[in-house]
Amino acid sequence: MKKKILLFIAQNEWIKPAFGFLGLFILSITFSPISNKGTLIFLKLDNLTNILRQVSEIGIISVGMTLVILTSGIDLSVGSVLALSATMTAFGIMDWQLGFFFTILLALFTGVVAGFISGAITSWGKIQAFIATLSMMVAARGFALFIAGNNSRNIGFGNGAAPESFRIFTNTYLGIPFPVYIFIIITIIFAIMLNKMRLGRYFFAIGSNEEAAQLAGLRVKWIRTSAYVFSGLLAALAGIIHSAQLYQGNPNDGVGFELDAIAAVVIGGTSLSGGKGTLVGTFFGVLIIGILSNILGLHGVQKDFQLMIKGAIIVAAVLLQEQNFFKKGF
Amino acid sequence: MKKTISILILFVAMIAVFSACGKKSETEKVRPKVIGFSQCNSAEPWREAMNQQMQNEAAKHPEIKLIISDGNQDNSKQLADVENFLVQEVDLLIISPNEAQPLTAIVEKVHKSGIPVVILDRKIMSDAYTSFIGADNVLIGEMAGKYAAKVLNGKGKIAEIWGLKGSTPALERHEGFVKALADYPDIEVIYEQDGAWLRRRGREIMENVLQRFEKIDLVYGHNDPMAIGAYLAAKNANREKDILFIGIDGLPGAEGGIQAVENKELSATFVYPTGGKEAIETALKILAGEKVERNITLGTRTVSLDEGK
Repeated sequence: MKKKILLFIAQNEWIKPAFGFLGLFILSITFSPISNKGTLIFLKLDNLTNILRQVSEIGIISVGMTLVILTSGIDLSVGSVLALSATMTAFGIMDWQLGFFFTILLALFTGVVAGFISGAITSWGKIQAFIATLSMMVAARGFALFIAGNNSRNIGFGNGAAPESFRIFTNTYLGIPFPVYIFIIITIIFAIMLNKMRLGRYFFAIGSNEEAAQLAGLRVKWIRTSAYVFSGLLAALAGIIHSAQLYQGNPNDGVGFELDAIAAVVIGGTSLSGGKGTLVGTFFGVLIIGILSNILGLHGVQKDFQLMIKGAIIVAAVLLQEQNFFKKGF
Repeated sequence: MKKTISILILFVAMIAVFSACGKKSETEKVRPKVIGFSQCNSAEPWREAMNQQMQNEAAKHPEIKLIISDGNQDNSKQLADVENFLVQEVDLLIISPNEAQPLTAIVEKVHKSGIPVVILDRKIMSDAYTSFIGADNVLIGEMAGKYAAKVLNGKGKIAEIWGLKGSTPALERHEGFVKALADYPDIEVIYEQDGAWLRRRGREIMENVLQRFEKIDLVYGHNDPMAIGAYLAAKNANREKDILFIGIDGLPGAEGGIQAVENKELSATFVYPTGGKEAIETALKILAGEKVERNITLGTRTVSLDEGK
């Protein structure tokens, strides 16, 4: 019986983050502050939708980050690409008057280009992903500041400003904010791609053994580049949502988002050495980070302790991912 | 099996502790009213002083409980902070917004839900608030200008070190200063530069000024740290005796401007009040059902060795 359970856990990498999520959820309910009317604040519908809305940007970025990490790469540029896309969105819809559709297209295209450059430098330039995307992180931030003239651009509505259709990103449908739907749909689409489609399986193949993949006739360089393109595209999508949430395109936003995304991916059980991981795991990883900052925020825990606790959680999560840890530790 | 039992015991213990907490709060007769304060960035000395004042004032009133959240100078973070206050059902919100536009929608939502809102220092782009408390930077700049004219006897050369160019406080502190000096044609502002509120920049700028100009009579910094930075540069060049330094903010504490005046580094500083105390006082009035003024402008005062503290 015990063996069977261990085998099941070993075969399904998302089980551990799912249990982690469940444990944290129960813990949060147990330690939830109580409102004046005696209800548990953590479990209020408003609070739960707040958590989902707050994690949706990091969540969407983490999907792309998972793809890149599966190919044993890393993408440090996502925070800057988010800022660039948010800036493009604000200027596109306000100053350049491109309208809803073309503004979104422009912002997404910016992300695709950034991702393609990172991927191409890594694949054909044979430069480590860390360095290539670090350069992109710096350059994209610079370009965003250049576009914005070092200032942030506010988004307003009405004549000569943003069209009403842009409100779709800030609206709530059936009690759930729109970005949450995007986050969940994106996760589902890419989970299907990873498991059912060829390209998805190729990511795993490259990550676990690049040489073998090459010998098997895979176009490794193109496949790897496509992972970065997806990452850039999703970062740009998160950027559009970001600008809509804050009614502002700010070239200085998104600092440190790459670290949150990497943390979510790692907590979700994806191995940084590539070839092993799941998007379901990442999904739970994102929720774990979101719930953690929510419950700490509700208790008024200050930044110093929040950061220390986050650090400890990441280490604990990675230790639990180690296959041998269970056998040795218990 | 042993493990399962121990986990079970742990869980039961947790529930016991938790339900005990629940009982305790029921027996408390009067729950304190909760005031949530969303600070945009606690890492600035001036804002830290604001938090401190609020905590001191709130400590005098056991009928209220003050919770302070730190937005880390990040609009998204501050938005989440206010959302947390909303689900926590605070009785009153005090907010000092990081930027106007990104926080306008959430403050409107809070105000619409019936929670009174007190806005501190920076405005939002809506009139959905109960009371706004802030100081008048133009007035403070004008006081600085008048002081400068007085100590220079109506004649002299001035270097002005700006706060972050484009920011409202910097523009207003400049505007007031220029306005006060308009009556003194012999006073000349010979150099202006953006010091971005930073002590380090104040020092760098002053080093350049000292190289370029042989005679400077007064340095006006848009805040104390920049004025102190300029003083340090002059001291390095052994010219600090010939120049007067004035700044704005007048914070208490070892690093603050008041101490710098006592150390004779600055000849004067003009207090830019944080409004922390006034915010709590206003909040108490609102919670007691009293009427409060919609716009409260805070006064300032001059701190210099001859004018007292």
